[in-house]
Amino acid sequence: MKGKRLGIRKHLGLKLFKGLYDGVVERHELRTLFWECTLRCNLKCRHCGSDCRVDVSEADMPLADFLKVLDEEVTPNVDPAKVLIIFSGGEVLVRKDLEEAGREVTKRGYMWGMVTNGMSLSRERLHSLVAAGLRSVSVSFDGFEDVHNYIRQNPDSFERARQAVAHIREIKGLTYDVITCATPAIMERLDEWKEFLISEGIERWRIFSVFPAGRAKRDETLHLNPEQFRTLMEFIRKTRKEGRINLSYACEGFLGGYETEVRDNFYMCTAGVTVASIRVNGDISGCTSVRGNYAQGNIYKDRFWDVWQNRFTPFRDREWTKQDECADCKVWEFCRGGGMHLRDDQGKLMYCHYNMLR
Amino acid sequence: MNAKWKIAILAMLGLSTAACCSTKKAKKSEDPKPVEVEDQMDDPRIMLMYGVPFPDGQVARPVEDVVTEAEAGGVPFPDGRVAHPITEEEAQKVLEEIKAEEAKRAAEQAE
Repeated sequence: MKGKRLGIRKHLGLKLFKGLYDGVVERHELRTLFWECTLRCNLKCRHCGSDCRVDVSEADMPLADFLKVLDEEVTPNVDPAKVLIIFSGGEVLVRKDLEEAGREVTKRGYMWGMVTNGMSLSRERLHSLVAAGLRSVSVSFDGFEDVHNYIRQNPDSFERARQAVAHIREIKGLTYDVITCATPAIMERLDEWKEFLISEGIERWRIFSVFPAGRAKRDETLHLNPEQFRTLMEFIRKTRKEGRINLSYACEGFLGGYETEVRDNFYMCTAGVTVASIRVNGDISGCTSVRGNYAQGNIYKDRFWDVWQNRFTPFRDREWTKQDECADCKVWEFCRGGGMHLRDDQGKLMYCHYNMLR
Repeated sequence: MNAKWKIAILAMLGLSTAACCSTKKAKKSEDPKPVEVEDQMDDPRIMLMYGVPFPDGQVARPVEDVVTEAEAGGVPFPDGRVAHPITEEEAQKVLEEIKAEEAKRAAEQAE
């Protein structure tokens, strides 16, 4: 199967969008702030994207430290109503003070959300989080019981995730989606899996594929080959046309002819452009999925806002990514070297989605 | 070419929603319960790798073909005129104009 080629209309669209995106980079408005509040987790997933070199005995960041940054550095410089705070981990539900954290950020006018594996999301805990202002939640749901439990390495994980989603669906007005990691095992049953999700009443679904970092780097059972990747794109495209479930591919990589057909928006990596993160050790970076050595400062030594304004050049100006296979690539102007999380410690591209589709 | 014109042409191509979007803005509240939201036009909200959907209560909807979407009606231009969907030939022409503009800018910078 050949990938979808980039037609003239889309080419023009991308050209125009490129100009608009320059404006987004220029404005450099903070729109999403990740708080990596813990690295502790109640699972040990095979594909975990967390930086495995980080010692998991790293203590959680005290809530007071995060709030200090919020109060002294962020809130005076943004409209809180425009900034979405995402609590991330590790597994955020291991923190006992999550409700307190939620109440505090809500009180300051921010909306907040969290990503969870659902293992310990009981109905009671969910209600307590909603009362603390939780507005959006994403649950990892990787496939049928055998597939999900294999990836999550826990025999109860599928059922717990399923229950968690059921509890979430009971809450009116709570935005949510489920996230599936597309592996070769679920590729064979994608249609079946889609029907299952629809039968469970799930309305919003996101798929990502494994990139070679963290634990996933060494596990071949998780990687899609180019043929499977093209099949995945066609599946997402077809499902979106059906309109029975709102499915998107994650923000990874430029997808050539599939741009706007498997996601709502044109591709862009907003790490460090509109997205910042405060990591568990205080590091200030773009997305939490970007490797540790791209941190531009640390909240315990630097002023967050100063770092955001003055030190995020590697995120905002991606000219440096024009190296190796990107050096002469004809779509670099649209892709700008791919997602920052796909760059290794030396800045080399680990995985190119566009090449996978050629 | 300014941003409004670019968006107008993107709309004619049926691609405007991919370049900008209507998002919701929260109203500040002392109440720890979910905050109220109001509509606002904004830059695209990208679904981040480890992110969550922007809280907007959006539900599943059919995704129409880009051509059908563009053909559904005219597109208001910033100057008040109404334009109609762009053809392949016109798209090629605009693309060439943009490329010429870019080449001119590059030449100017080189000087």
